[in-house]
Amino acid sequence: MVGVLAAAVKQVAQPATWAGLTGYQWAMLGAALAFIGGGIGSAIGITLVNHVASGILVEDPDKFGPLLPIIAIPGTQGVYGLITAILVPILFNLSKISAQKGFLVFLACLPVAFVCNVSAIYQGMSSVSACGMVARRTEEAGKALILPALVETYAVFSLILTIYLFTRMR
Amino acid sequence: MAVEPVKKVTVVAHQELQDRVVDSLVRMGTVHVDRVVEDDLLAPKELTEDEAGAVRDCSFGVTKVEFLLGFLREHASERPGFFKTMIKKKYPMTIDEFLAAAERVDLPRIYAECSELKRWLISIMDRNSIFEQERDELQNWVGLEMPLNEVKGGSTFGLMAVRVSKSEFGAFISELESEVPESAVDFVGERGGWANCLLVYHSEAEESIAAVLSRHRYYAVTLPDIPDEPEDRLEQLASELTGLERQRLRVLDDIENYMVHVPALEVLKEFLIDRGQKIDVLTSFGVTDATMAVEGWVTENGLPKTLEELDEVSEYIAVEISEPEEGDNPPVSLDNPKWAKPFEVLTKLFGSPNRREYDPTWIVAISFMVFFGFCMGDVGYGFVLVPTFLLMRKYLPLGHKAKDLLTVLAYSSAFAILIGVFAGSWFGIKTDSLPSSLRSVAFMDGLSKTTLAMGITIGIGLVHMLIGVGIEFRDTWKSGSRTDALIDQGLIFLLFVGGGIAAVLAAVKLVPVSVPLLVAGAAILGMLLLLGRSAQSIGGKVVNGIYETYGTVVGFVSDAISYVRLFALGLATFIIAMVINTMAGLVRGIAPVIGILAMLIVLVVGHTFNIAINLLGAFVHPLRLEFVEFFGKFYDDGGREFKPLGVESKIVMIEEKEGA
Repeated sequence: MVGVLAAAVKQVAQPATWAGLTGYQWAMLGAALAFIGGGIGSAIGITLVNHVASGILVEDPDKFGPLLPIIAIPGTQGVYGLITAILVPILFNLSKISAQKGFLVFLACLPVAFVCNVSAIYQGMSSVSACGMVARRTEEAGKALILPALVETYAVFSLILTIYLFTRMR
Repeated sequence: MAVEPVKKVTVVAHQELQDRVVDSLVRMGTVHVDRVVEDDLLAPKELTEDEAGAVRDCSFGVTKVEFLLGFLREHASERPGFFKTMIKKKYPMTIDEFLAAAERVDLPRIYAECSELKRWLISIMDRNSIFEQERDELQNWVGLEMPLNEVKGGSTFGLMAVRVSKSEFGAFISELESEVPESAVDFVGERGGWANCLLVYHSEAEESIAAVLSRHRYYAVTLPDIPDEPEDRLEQLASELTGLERQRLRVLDDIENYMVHVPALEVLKEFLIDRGQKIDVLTSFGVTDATMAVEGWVTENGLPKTLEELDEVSEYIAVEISEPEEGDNPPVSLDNPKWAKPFEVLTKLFGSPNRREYDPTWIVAISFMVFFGFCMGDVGYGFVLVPTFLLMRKYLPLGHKAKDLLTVLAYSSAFAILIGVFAGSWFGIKTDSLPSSLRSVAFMDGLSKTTLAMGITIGIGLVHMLIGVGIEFRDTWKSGSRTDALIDQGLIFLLFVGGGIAAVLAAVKLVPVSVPLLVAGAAILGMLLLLGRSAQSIGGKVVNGIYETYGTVVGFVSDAISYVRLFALGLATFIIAMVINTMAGLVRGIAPVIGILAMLIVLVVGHTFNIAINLLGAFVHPLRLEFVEFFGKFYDDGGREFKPLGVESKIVMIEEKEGA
């Protein structure tokens, strides 16, 4: 009798899982992926621009000012990933989150994880072209800055979607 | 708040007055010079030999000045700091001072003297390099106790200096002893993994020697042909190198004396470039046998000064003023109120409006400030940024465009304070921790009122775009295409404004729910029937109508959704600030005093970092909304910027004379 009761208590005490992971683990996995995706994308994007910008600056160091915002702009996706990762523990009580809800949080993090990763890399490529514009015609630096910003639209949308899904799930 | 009207101006004078006319135009800075159209009377001016020579002289002068500036900066004892490389020094001066720049610097003398210094320096460095190479080699032969010029063979024997890999030296010796007994090796010393030795051998054994050497890693060394032993020679070299170093330092001191000319050289370079351009501008003039003609544009505000100044040049100058004609493409000068004037830098980033369309600068000014406020959206950050930008504007040596940009940022940061109050963002302090008075006005808190905050940004976006549609309606109506205005823009207003108002009235139960549906339905039906009107066939009109309706409605809605980024960026700023505060709170508990110090450091560094990374987004994304979503509704640009003939320089700031 004692053995049966002990087994029942043990059964109840174990956290529920979904596909082998608890809600806490799913949520943290989502948060981690969001930042990993955005961070890696931004690192690659900024590196791509740096290669070209360094070459331009060797020839004309005066162009550092107009080039700096173009170099920095692929970095925002990493920030979006960081924000998503931070919002997970802020908005959800991870100690009590169910496995199912944890999995939903994981899914909600995926737009940022993937879209920020890819868009940062392509924004870096777009910034490379923008650097070319500035190298040739510094007076068009304003227009050159806008072109890579168009790519970031989708990263912003992914962040908006993720935040919206978080708030709906709360 | 419009494109400033301009007048066409034609100045005709005797060719002898050419230089004085150009000088007067440059000093006035009121006339935008255009190329004269060739006709029966006027031919385009070609530069005379003297003028072409002057252009070449200017170009050579610029090359010389660039050489001097590069040479002097390369050898300057003090390197400029990071901020000095970012912000170039500016030279405020009157136009007379600028035009006298060539007289302040004796360029030929300084160029000749610095060229000589450079030749001398190169000669010193070359000799230094040779002596150092010789010294490096001789350090391998310190143990050699014979004059260097005696290390050579004779008719019956060979003597060579050889360097063999230390690891193979033993094997090398053994092979020589066994294969070439008519040889001997004098080991001199070892350095850097190589054994240096003298190899003496019978001249008939030369081939055998070569065969043994080829089996090992070795160098045949050519020693200097001098009658000194290596140690003595090394002493001489040390003395020579010391002497060369003294000479080098003397040359650097001499170069340092020329650094005082750098500011004057920088201004001279600008002067020479400007002068070359001003001579080139002569090719825009028209000429007859004896006269010259200048055609250009002047604003209405600049006209009295222009006429007065030209009158002072000579009474034998004729000036004709006329209105722009139909085929003309006059340059565009923007005329905005003082508070909106700095924002012209944003409009011009996209492109000047053409002269027939509306100048949206004042609308861009207000909307940019609001959007920036949303993106930055923190009271504390706003209070930090406003004085920062104002102080930068006042004390940093910057050009007009940079100062305008700082003014724009300062004004916009004030809106960050306002939006921060409504968003409940005070240096990232959690809204729950704020006093109730501040919490009560935080109706746009991004974390707790997400849907409302997003809805507000979409609503602002809709209003912004509808203003753009309204401008297009005005431009289309003014151009005479009133039907097009009523259809293309009027139906959009009917759908979004009419439908929106009807929806609000239906929500408060003043009208039935069917009213907004009817209004929207009427608008969409109108679009389906009329937007495809340009097609020839009935089928084409229907298909085009569906396509245009879909594009208009869906495009408008998706553009409105794009404004949600303002909410996202503002929330990003707040969340990062909140995390910084959390981290600062964690380090505070380390130790009583050190903890507080660490907390302050984390707060200052962290919030500065947050401001920096979000400032870029707060500038770029509102600008993107202006250029894509707003300008896309009406803006054609294509205007030529009004650029009066004057001094163009990035580092020389022309000031008015006192009393002028």
